[in-house]
Amino acid sequence: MNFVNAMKYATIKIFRNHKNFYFMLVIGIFSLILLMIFTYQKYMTDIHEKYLNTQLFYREISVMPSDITSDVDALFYEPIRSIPHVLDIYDSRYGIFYTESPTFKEKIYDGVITLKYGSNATFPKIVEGNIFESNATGVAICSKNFYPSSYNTKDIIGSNDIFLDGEELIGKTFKTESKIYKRVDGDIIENGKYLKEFKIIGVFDNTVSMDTPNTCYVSGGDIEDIYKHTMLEVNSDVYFPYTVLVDDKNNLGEVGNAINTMGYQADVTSIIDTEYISKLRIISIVIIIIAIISLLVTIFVYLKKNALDNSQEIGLLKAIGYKKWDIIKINMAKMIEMILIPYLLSIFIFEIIFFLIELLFKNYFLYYGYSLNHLIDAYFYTLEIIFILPIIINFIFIVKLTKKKTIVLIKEVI
Amino acid sequence: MNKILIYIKGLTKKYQRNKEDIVALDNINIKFEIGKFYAVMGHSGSGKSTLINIIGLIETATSGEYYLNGKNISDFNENEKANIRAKYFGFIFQDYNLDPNLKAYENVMLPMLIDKKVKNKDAKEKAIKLLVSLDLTHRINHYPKELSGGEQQRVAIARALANNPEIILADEPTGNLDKKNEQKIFSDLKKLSESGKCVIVVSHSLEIKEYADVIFTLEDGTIRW
Repeated sequence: MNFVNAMKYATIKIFRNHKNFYFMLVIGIFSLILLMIFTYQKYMTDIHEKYLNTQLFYREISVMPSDITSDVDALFYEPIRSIPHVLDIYDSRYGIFYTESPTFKEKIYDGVITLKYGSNATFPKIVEGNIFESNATGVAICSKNFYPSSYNTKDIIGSNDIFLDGEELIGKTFKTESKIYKRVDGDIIENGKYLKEFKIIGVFDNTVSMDTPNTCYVSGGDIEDIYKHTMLEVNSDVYFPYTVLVDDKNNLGEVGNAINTMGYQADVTSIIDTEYISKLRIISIVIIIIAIISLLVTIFVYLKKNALDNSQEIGLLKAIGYKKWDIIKINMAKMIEMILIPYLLSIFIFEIIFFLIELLFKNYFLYYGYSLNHLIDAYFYTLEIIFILPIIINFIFIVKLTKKKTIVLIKEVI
Repeated sequence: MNKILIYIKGLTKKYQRNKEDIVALDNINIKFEIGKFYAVMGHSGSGKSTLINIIGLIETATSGEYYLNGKNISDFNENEKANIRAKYFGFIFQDYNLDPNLKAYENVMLPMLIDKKVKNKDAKEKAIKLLVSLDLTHRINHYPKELSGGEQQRVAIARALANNPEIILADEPTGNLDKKNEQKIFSDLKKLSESGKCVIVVSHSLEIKEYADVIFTLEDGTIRW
């Protein structure tokens, strides 16, 4: 029998025997489950990796000067800056600052902006516009998907457009309004607001840098200026460490040792938590093993239930002159179709689910810098599992049947 | 004398049952000619089905020689036997043995599709013609479960004729049919033999004597004429 006729015959046999639908349904369900598991696991692992690679926190060392009562000077900064793998050093008070912008306070936005220390060492990749020099002032690089607000569940879990187009904001200025706090008789009270103006000169993709979409990078000098005008009195009796930024988390130990050798106290504060990923991997592996075992059981039950039908068919084909390998070819074509059809349907359903998740949670993903990309690996891993096992088992089963004498197969029929 | 298609010499078939040798066929010598209707009769267990299965190459003899069209095919391998079955033989079984998931014409097409060069369209046309010739025009698109016993057997006959074989083998083709249908089936088989085919039929039915050209009886594995 030629290939085309074999496929036609296989297709007819599949769709006219209702027993095959249950098998195909099970394969389809397994495919969908495996696609989801693999996608979720890879996705979470990728996010974890991305988070580790993008968040400066994992490349930071906290350093206290040996003499914490005095202002630090060039004898502190420059020697540390010159240590191999050190990218930058700055006062940790100026790493991040939360403020409000009356410019953006309207409609759904409460105007809360996160200002982050911007330097060549900390800038995320710019998608449009320019970066600034470390001594610049009054300039900002903001998120391309700009959401000048604190987290609001109603907005984030929804599909309405809530983000401003950062590229359209390039060249525009915005004001920040930070509350001034003073100590009065031991109490901390609000005492006015400190205003500052920034001009947006560039935008970055927050889904790449995993910054919240209300983040703007400004110079350390600007943050220092705001801090000194608003918080200095509040924290006057607190000593803050300095942040040393290292080029790679694998070099933290080396840099920390070098700093300690210089007589300063260096603490590697980041702890890379891999427990979640390990648990996720274990759970995924367990589910995959359960799926594989269930798949094997399904195949065996299906082949057993269809043993008589298969014997009947093979006996007949042999009796009318089909050769062993023709019979194997026809049966393998059947099994391949019975796997590929539900597999492709499961991909179709998966894509619909994927599309709906993207649609319903697009703001959530943009907010947290997650990017929901198709993970092609998941399709291949799923196909390997649901394809290889049944094909091998079916092949062994059919070869065994075809080896039986024709009269034995015929007698099983009559 | 017609051309001899099949010549069987010294054919013996033994089975092992409970470590004991059972002789199903004992030193059978027989010839089959084209254009004749052969009836193989005998009581249950006499070896009739075994003989027809060996003739049709779906069972192997323990010893003996088998000549088909003058060629000794006794030691042919499975693929060679499959080729011969496809080319020379058409089988009709007692239980029809139609594929329940294929329509009547699709069942008839099945032997034709062995040949890789055969197109589906041509095979379908030929299958429909065969069914029409057997008065099954109104049943072409029906599944076996929608056919009566007689109709199913006629579809089986059409399938047996699909590759225009020279030899038709039928093992109790009327075993599940009433008298009227039995007569119809024997009549169809008779026409086939008259058209030049060698028809070999195993049957319990005495009715076959009205149609057969040659009748022999198997008793305890040997032939009685």
